[in-house]
Amino acid sequence: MMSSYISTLSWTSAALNTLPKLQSEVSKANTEIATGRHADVGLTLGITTGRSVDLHTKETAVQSLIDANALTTNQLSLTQNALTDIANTANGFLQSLMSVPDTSGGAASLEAQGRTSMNGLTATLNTSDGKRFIFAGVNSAVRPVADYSAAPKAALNAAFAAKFGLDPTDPQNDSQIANITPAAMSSFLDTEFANMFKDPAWGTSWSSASNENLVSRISQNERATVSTNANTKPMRELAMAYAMVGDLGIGKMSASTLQVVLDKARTVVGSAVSGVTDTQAALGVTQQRVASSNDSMAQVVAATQAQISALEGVDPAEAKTRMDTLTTQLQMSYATTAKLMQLSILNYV
Amino acid sequence: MSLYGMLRTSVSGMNAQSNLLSTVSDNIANSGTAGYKSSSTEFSSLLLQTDSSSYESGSVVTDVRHAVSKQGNLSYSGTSTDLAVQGNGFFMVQDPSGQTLLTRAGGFQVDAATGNLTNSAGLTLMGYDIADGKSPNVVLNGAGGLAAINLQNTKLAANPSTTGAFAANLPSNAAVVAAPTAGANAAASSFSQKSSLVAYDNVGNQVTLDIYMSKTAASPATWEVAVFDQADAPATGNFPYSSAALATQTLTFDSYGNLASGGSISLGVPGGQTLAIDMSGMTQLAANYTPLTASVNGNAPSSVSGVTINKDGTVYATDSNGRQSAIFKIPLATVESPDHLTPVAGNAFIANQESGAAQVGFAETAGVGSVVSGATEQSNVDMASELTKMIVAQRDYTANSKVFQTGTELLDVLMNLKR
Amino acid sequence: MSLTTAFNTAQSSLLTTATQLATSSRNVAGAGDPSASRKITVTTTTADGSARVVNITRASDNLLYERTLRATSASAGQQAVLQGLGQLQLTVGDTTSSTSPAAKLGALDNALNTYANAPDNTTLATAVVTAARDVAIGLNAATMTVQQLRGTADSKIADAVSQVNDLLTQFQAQNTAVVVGSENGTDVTDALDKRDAILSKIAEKMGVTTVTRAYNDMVVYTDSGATLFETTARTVSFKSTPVFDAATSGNSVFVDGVSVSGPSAAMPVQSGEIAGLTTVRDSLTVTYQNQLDEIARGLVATFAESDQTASGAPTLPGLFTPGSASVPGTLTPGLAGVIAVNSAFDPTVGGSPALLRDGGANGAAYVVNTASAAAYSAHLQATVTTLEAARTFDPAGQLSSGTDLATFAAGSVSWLEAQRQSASAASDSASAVLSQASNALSTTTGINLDQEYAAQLELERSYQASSKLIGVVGQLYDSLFAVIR
Repeated sequence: MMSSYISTLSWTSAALNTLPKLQSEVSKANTEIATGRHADVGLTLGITTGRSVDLHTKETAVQSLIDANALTTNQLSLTQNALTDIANTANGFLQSLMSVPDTSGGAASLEAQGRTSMNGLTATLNTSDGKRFIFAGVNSAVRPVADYSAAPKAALNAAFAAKFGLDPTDPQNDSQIANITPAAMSSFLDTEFANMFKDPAWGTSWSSASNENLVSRISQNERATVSTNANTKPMRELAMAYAMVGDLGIGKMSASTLQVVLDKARTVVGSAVSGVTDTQAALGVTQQRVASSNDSMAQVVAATQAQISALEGVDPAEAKTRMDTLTTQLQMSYATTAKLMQLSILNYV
Repeated sequence: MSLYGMLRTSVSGMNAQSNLLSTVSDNIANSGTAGYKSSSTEFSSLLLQTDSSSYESGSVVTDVRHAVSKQGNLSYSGTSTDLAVQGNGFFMVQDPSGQTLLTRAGGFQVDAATGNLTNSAGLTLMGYDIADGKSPNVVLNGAGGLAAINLQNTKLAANPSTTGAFAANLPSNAAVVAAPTAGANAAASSFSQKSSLVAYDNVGNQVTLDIYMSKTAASPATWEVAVFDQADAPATGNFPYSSAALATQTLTFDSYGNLASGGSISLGVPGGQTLAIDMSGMTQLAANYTPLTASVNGNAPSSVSGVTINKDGTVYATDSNGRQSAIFKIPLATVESPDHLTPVAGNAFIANQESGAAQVGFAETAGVGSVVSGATEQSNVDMASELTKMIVAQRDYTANSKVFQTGTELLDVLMNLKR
Repeated sequence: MSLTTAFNTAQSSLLTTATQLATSSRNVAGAGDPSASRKITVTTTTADGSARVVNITRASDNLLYERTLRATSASAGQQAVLQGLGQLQLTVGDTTSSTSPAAKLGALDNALNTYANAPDNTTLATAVVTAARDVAIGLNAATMTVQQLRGTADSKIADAVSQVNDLLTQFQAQNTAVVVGSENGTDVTDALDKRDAILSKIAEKMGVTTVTRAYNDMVVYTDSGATLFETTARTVSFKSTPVFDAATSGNSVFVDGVSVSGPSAAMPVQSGEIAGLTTVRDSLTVTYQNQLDEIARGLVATFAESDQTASGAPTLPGLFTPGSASVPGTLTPGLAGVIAVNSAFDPTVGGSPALLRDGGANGAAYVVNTASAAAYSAHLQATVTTLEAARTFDPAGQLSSGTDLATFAAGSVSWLEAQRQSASAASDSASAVLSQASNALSTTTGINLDQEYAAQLELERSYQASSKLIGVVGQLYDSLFAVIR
């Protein structure tokens, strides 16, 4: 008789006891449908949760590198524009040097062009993107090139006057200039004058820029030089050529001496133009690298997101099916409980 | 052949019937008396000398009998001092004069004045005092050694612990404990397992015994068992106790984990008796430490919370902790022929020549029967048969009186002859 | 069989039926109580043929009951562990959230990388310091959570211990009632039910095993064998520790003078709430704290400044200060609780975040950017490299050594979630076993109302029949009396 005994409590509570479990399962499925992720990611993933956290961190890291690269790209194109500017001016100057006949009238206009170009060069080298001077190297907080009319010009004047015994206050307009021999001029240009554009004179009177360029991380394992500076050879050469033509009083020189100066200027500017082009090419390569690492990082982000979703994601269709099954179970459970509660021998006696 | 004889015979008949009616009335009156044994009346004729030509009417002789051996129904009450005998035995009771009687009337109650167990007739139940382990002092054919069963003055003496048992499975994979072991009672002593048991000293104080088990060797598996008095335990930590171990014992186990030696430990309970703890159930198998048996006898003094009486007639007092101790043994007496016992007032009987002398025995032994606690034996009177007997007796009496009447009338006729 | 016997038998039948009805009504009253067992009236036929109630017993199944006890302990223990891990999980949060030390470390790494790309940008420097402060505060908060959890577990153990003592006192009362009743042969079923219910409650707190002696006298041991109850209740004692820090270790629970919880326990309990709480207090939280401390130590070491002048000055803490003057070389308990951002770097208290780029928080000898170049990135990039380099971690953190800090922090999350996952699975299965065991027990020993009602109907018939019999016997007597005139 007792072989199939069951107590009232266990026969009515069997269906009841499953209700809370079913309800919490429904709420879980509901969350999963809404978010497309596991309801409790940590609990579901367990030991692999660290991998998921890692992926999230990686995604953010790569994203922030992409964001930083936008700034780098911006600075690179700014530098490129400035370099193009410089190259254009230099090319114009070179043309003038080539085409202008060796007359004093032509020399006067060249002199003017030299001075303008010098101003243009210093202005361009002092370009700032609002946060830093782009030609200052790592010493980006300081204006890289001093105003030409101040210290550099004074140094030049002093050297020029001292070499040739000119009026130290205004050597350019001293009539003695006409007496300078081509040999003396050549010697001056190669030694005293050239020294002013070499360190340490260049650093003290002309440039505050650092030789060290900015290095940026452009992808997770790639670093690139992303700037150039005012101390590079082409810049010095340009400054030298502009100063040579603009401030040695070429209008008053003898034709043969003028020829020495102009020849020297042509050589220097020619070398500078090709130097600027090289710098532009180098920066262009960097721009290319930034662009391509951006592309590859975009792919990394996509791949990371795919991995995250593979780890944390829930198939909504599956979740919905589960939800439907659970709802049906829950309804059946309710119905069964209600039915069981109604069943009593008292109703039949 | 005489009218007078006829009158005498009818009178003897009426006497006989009135005897019968007397037993019937007694039986009916006592039909509710516990332990009452019904009486019955048998008749025999007493014939005078007659010859073939005349008949001299005799008379009827009455013989009263008692159905003492007939078992009555048991009526269950739930009172533990209500006793009944299922079988042939009799309770031995004493009347106020000191005479020992036998009875089946077991509705005993504690008499408020004396504390003795007395039944409704005031008879005191007798038994043997076996408190504190005394053995009953039985005199087989007499009342010697019997004492009144008194529950009022029962003071439970504290029973000091004397025997106990402790068995457990000791884990075979336990690590060997580094010296000093628990038995050394040093501050650095270590042990494998600990258990404790409550024992009682002479005055009934609880003494908690701490039992430390330490594995001292792996092969052959050897364990040291050390027993301490917990009262000596230090305030913090396990060791050292303020006095040395009460006893230590070395247990060795064979390769199957069975106990090879050291099956018991004997120790003096502080302020108490020597306690022998049986440890023969100890095993050392590859299972967790599992206590299997733990018991110690003895008890603390405590007021009697109840009395139980066993089937074999042993009276136990139960203290408030539920511990029982035997205090009395109720003997049952048997006689050769119970039906010939002499009934006395109060549903009691006295042994006589015909019944044979009372033999004292104990319940649950052969031919004595058992004591049933919580029930009384109802009277063995059957109402219906008494009533029918009464009807028959009434009719017989009437018939006898008719004979007497006829005899008197005939005498009247005789008297009227002379006028 | 005489009429008197018939009368007697009918009368005893009435008595018996009444007792059975009373038992049945007790069953009906207890139908809703899970701890109530089914009472059974045991009747016997006496020598004269009448029925008599011998005693009242209850339906019981010792094996099922012991299984339920074990399941109760296991479930309560796992529940405690799971709750503790749930609390710890708050320090980690969801994988997408930035709560976890791993995520905060990632944010610091990003900020540092961004700053290294533009070292002349003060805003980015401040962002690094802010991220660093986030990491430090996160570690401090996690440490506080961990230590508070230990404190809570400790006080819960104290609560559980006082409850066990209370329950043992109640147990003693019921056990005495059972023993006295059993010896006297009275009905002890209610006391047995109550004693079982109390034992179940004790089992919730700590795993128990029992030995039953004569007269249903029960001896209770912990599942490790320490004596909880034998004739009298043994003392369960515990001294709670009010405040926990990483260097504190909690006290043991003592049962009958033997320590049963904690790392130095002689006979450690295996299951029950106390065992679970002890695991939380002495194992899980301690390991997790070690992990946090190692993360903190890694941070302090990564950002430490070394002497640049070859004058032999010691390496000193930089961006992160460990609460002491030197850089800790080994696992330092509680480091995660005191780690802070050096005020020399913190712009909100007048510090200079540019020290990150230049070095020199500990004096001129530590300056790396001697030229004070605004866009000097070498030091920053070196720091990034150090941050992302493999390090050696203490094995007490239970995570693999020789990984970088971010992997270690992510490993910590993994460890925690793995513990939680296994605890959740264990808890689910333990509660499933418990519900199955208690269901089986209830099925076997519980009360079925319908059956009781059916039995009552049967008893009613029996009562009617006995009454009828008494009536018939009465009538028989009446007819006998009618003869006597």
